[in-house]
Amino acid sequence: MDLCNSLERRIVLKKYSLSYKYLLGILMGTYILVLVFLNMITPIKRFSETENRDLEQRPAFSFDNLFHGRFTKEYEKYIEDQFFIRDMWIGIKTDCERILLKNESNGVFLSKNNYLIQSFLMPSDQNFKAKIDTINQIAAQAPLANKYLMMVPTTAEILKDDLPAYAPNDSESAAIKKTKELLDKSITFVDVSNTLTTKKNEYIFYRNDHHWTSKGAYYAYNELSKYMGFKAHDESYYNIKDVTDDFLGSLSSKSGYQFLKPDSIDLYIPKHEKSYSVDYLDLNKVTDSIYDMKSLQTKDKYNVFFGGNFGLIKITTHVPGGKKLLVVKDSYANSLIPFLMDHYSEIYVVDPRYYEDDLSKLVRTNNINDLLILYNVNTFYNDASY
Amino acid sequence: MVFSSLLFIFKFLPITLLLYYVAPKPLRNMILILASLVFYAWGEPIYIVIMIFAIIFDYTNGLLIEKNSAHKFRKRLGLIASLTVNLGLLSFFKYYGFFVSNFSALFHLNLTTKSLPLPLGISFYTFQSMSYIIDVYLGKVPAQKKILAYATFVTMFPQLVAGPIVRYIDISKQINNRKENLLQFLDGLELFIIGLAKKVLLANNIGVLWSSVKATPIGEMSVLTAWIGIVSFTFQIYFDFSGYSDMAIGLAKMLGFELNINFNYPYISRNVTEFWRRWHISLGTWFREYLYIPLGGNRKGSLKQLRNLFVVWFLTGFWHGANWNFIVWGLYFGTFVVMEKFFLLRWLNNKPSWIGHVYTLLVVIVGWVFFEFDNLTQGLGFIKTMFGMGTNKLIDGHALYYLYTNAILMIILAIGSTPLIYKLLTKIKMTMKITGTIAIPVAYMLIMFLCTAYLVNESYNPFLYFRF
Repeated sequence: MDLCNSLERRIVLKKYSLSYKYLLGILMGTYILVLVFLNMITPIKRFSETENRDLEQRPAFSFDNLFHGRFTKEYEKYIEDQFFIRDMWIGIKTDCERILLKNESNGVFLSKNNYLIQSFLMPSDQNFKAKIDTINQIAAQAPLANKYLMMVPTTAEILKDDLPAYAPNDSESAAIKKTKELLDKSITFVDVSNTLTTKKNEYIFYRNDHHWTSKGAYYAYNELSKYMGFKAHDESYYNIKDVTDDFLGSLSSKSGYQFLKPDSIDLYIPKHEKSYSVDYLDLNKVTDSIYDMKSLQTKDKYNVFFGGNFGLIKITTHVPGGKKLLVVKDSYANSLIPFLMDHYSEIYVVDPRYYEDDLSKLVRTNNINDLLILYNVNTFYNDASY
Repeated sequence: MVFSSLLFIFKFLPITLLLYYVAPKPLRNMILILASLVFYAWGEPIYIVIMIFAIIFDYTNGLLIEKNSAHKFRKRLGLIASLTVNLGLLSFFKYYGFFVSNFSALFHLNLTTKSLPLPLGISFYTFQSMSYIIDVYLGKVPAQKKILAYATFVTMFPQLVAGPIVRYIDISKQINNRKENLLQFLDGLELFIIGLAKKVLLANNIGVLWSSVKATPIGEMSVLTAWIGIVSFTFQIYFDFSGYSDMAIGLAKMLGFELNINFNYPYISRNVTEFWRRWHISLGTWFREYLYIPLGGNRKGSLKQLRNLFVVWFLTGFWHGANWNFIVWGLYFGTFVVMEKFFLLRWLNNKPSWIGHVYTLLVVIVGWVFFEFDNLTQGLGFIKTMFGMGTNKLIDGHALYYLYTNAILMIILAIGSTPLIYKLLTKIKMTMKITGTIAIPVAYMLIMFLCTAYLVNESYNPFLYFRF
């Protein structure tokens, strides 16, 4: 009796130990077939918003391409780039890593408050000197103007207490200190570190993007006014308009973390709106607004400020007094310049990466009174190669 | 082409399996050869001709050797011809640069070489071919009359590019007489998923840590960081290589072939001799059968045995790479094997087993330093750092950061290096009912899902516009 039962039992168990294999086969087969099918029927994408690049298209076949190994490489890239729901898979991977307690991806840390923080790597002494020299040279193009440098620390400094424990990260404040030492004496250093640090519990930086928020820019503008000699407006001077809640910016792309809470972008519109004109001199385009609302439909919503970075933009306001400002900058200035428009009749905005003309000529021709050089520490000095 | 890619898993494999099983049995070897040639040529459109040449040459030689089995001289000629061609091809493509630069250094010349790209899998298929020729010469196995069958043996894509090194004698019967069956297929599928997970989820991930540590200037590295780094590599190379072998064996099963295992939990070894019976088993077997034993093994006295061991370990190291650090690595292990043979094993036998485990792991981990650093000075510098013989700090922030952000992964890797999970799984499979029957496949699918995510991520390449 007992033997019978035990034998029966073993036969039944053996059945189960075989059945799981069949189930595995069915599940796996279905998985592969479904994905093969879905890959075949979904249309080919041209551009990835998340990665900000063109996606590989189906390569053209030629024997020449084949023998040089090009066809096979391109075909493989094509399969990978066009894989069904690519972005979602990437988000799954980064979320899996978070479970493993990994808090960094591609040079971007995920802080305790779910802020993405771009790590900072201090350049070598030689490289540092070369970079600070470019600032001194820019200032030399405007010998008669009042010169200011605002070097903005990013979350890597301001939110450094929220960084993961022992996260390898160099000190942006050390870079700022060194900047002050090597800066030409004719340039006034505008220090916003303290201001931003005291406000660090407010929403002054984006969680998923390397820029500061309009609020962060506002506080910096406030601080700047003490140096540049005009009276900054109160926040109550503005209608603070929330134009999007769906902003997943540069750091979300860089790190690959997909499933984080998106950012919102605020525009500080003066309650008494005044008219002005914006002249994009490289594009021969004149508009009446510094805000490019179309950008809000794309991935890089920060481009709502001016539509991005250009060689030379001229803003003509109707502010009396005739004071003229030249801003030489990176993208951080884009959200700060709106605040300066009430204090200058003309603002020239130059991005040296795109500007090819003679800066000193621009300064002389237009009788620039004030020169503001505005960069963020991380983009300006960071030596890490991406 | 690599197994761990979207291209292989979602295009090549389904198409190949479909054609293979739809085709009538007599055509299956042909399909396999064609698929394997596509697989090989995918990454190597030009050098495929070398492999094809070697196949035809060795096949012909095999027949000639057998035909002339009575004529010792002609038989020998055939053997030498094949060995020369195979070793010649290997030496030329893999070791040419090494020979020239050492020759040049020895005679104070200034010879430079144009670096030759290494044909894919040449270290593997030349060894497989030689196993065939030698065994035919020794009369251990009849020569293969059908060229397609011989070509199947050399080209079959599961083990073509990264092993295991299959001896002809082990699959000669399976080439023409295998019975593909569903259970074997499913076993292969399960093994493939396990191998894929080992490579994509485990090896690739801990490899990131080692890359990071390896790039750290030696002066800035703390002792703890050095250990964390080399332990990471220790895990990486095991899971990478054994994962790939699992995938190869799994794929072979899906095609109806049974290959021998290549890794048997090497890190649980209690001595170095045991380690080399569990690590890259097919290579150790090859060197034993075709080099150590023909040289006389241990049957010609201690002196000859030492010589034989020296040759075998020199070449084992050299096989891994055309550089002195690999030779050092091989001889390093050879030294321990010799010591164990002559006295160390006896000494270890009287000690509690944990001493053996710690001793073996230490030897192996330090060995990996030689393996990884091309430059011997750098390698020795790293070892010095590991043992606190430099001016490096014991612990630093970097080390702690590496530690806690990889702790969970490390624990998984450590457990995975032992037979624990395998034993647990086997026990569950024996005693499970409905829940287990469903849970296990679902767990595998979850793993497959994660592997897919990680594979897609390999091609993630955001263009970071904020630099421009």
